[in-house]
Amino acid sequence: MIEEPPSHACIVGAGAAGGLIARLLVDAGLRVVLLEAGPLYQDPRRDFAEDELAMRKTQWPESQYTITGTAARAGASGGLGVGGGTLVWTGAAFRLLEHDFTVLSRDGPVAGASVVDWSLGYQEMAPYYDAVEEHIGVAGAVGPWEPPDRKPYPHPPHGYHMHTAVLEAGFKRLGLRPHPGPVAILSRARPGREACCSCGFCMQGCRTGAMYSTATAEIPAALATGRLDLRPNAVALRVFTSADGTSAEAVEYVDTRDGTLRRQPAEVIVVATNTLEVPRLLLNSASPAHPNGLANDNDQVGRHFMAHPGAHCRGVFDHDMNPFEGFVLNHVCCLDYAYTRPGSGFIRGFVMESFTVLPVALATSLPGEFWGSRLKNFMRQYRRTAGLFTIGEGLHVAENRVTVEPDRRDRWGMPQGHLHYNWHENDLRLLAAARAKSIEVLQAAGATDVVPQPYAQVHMMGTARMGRDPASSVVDTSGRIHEVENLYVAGGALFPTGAAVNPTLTILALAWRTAEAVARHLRAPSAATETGKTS
Amino acid sequence: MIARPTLDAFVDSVIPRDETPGALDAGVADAVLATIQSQPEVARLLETGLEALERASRAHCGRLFASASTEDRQALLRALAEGREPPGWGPEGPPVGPFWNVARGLVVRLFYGSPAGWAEVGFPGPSVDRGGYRHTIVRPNPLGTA
Repeated sequence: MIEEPPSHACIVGAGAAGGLIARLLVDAGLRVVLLEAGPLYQDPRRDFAEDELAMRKTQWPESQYTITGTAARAGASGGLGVGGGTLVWTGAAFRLLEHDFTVLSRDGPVAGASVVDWSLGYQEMAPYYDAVEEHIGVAGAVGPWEPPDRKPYPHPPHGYHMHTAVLEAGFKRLGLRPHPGPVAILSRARPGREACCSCGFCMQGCRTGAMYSTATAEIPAALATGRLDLRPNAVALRVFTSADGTSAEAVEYVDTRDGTLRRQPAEVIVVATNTLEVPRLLLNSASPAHPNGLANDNDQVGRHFMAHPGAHCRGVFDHDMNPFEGFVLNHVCCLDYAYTRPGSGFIRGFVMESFTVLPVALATSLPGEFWGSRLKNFMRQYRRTAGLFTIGEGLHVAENRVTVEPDRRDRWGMPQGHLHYNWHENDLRLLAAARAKSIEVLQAAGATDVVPQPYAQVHMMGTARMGRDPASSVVDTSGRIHEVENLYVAGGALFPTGAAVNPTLTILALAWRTAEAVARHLRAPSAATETGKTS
Repeated sequence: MIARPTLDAFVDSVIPRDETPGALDAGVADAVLATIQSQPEVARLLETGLEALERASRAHCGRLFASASTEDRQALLRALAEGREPPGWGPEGPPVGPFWNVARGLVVRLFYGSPAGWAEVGFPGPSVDRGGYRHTIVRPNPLGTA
């Protein structure tokens, strides 16, 4: 094994959280080693293609996981490569609503679910949301569901294409409140990033930089400081601690190009991989001081997995909608059902967002009974389709969890992962209501035919739950692991509950808090990470 | 080894030629074989599933799947799409659901992601290098009146 020179911080994973933390730390004068399992795409315009098949290489393959349970459907929504999930996301940039932080207090305990309140609330998160929105360039307008006195969005909302105007009218006919969805997609150019040209290929790696990704918005600037040591094609295998287990010392990783094993010591280690890989790395880092896996003395690592149950629907209209125009998600949204509605038979709620579609995405979203001439005839209506992306708050269940399988190993010899995920009864009731409402909206918009997609799940969350109580959570409110003084986790894994809205803005806001905590830990010479002082 | 005639007939049944080209015309069978080269688990699922489909075809109509009538092929695929094992599928065949999802998914993806599939549905192709679709916005200010 090759011993690398020590660094201030070593971050595992160059996605939303890891990429942002790396940027903030180097801006604060610290030296950072950033490990990324996938490759580096240097130039989005050249290296990314408007091609759904060619760009599948940027999707993180969950196929190496054993997946069991009633909710088990593919769709991990992770990315592979410098940029991680921000290479393949949609740019939807919602804040959690105020009530999303207090599910237990508002809705009470739920049998079979591990519902909790967040250990920080909207007021504590607001300055970080403000900072992140400014930093990444969110376009939007303060919605009727948000605190009216919140800081305005830094960029104006995008205009509507035909498909969006039609959906807006549908919402209005039902007395709902459609609103331009907040997106981290530029409506005005910024240095190094163009304004959105409406090409429709957000999830294939944005070629123009209009959609925020850490690959285009953070990494080049971080490299320019000379303090970022970016190492793509580097798969972390385990985290080493001191003999007594209280301090993290180094990350062992493999260079996938030649199989070389390397050991990167650092004063602080941040695990910022995706929600499945966080627990796999911690569990695979078992040692005499942490026999059940690193940070897992309380058997909480990998538990409380959840995703957003999805009940997306496609409508067919009698004139062209041109669903390839615009960005893919959230031109218009409606959060009127994002709340618990007494009498509905379920707690929490769902959100509806406009959803444009490319040919492969439409064809593969159809249920399995679409084949032969039925499939071909449906697909001939492609240009006349418009859709709704409808996701709700799935409840955490302790038994929904990631474990590792020592008898099944990856090519580097590390135990593979196993995800077990059952729907909670509440999820199924919510899905039925969400699907019915989405069909109603599309019909009100004038759809002559509506095809509900099979229930799906997106946005993995919750395997390293954040909380104040070390017995029932994995990390504290700064993302630091309770049991280890200099080891942090960042990403969707931290979410104590998942809300109904897309999670990335909150992932970034939490990552900003973690960057501040790491900088304090290292007594950074500059306070550049302090909220509001960087943009 | 995947039997090419069975694969061709399967591809042709999932997206058939009618007044426009089907998946077989668009070279999707070759694309399937190229795709699964780097995915051994998918290759195995496809191979065992197509073998089981051959057995089912013999049991159903006494013919190879490739020489079965359109009606017979459709009856067999209908069973798969409904999650039923057609008679003759056999215990050595893979679970019907995952086979159908993966095999159908591959054909569908490779066809509608190809220029032939784009032409079929009227998708005009990449647009960034010709300026995108900003000009098709119908409501520049979504908060203003229509």
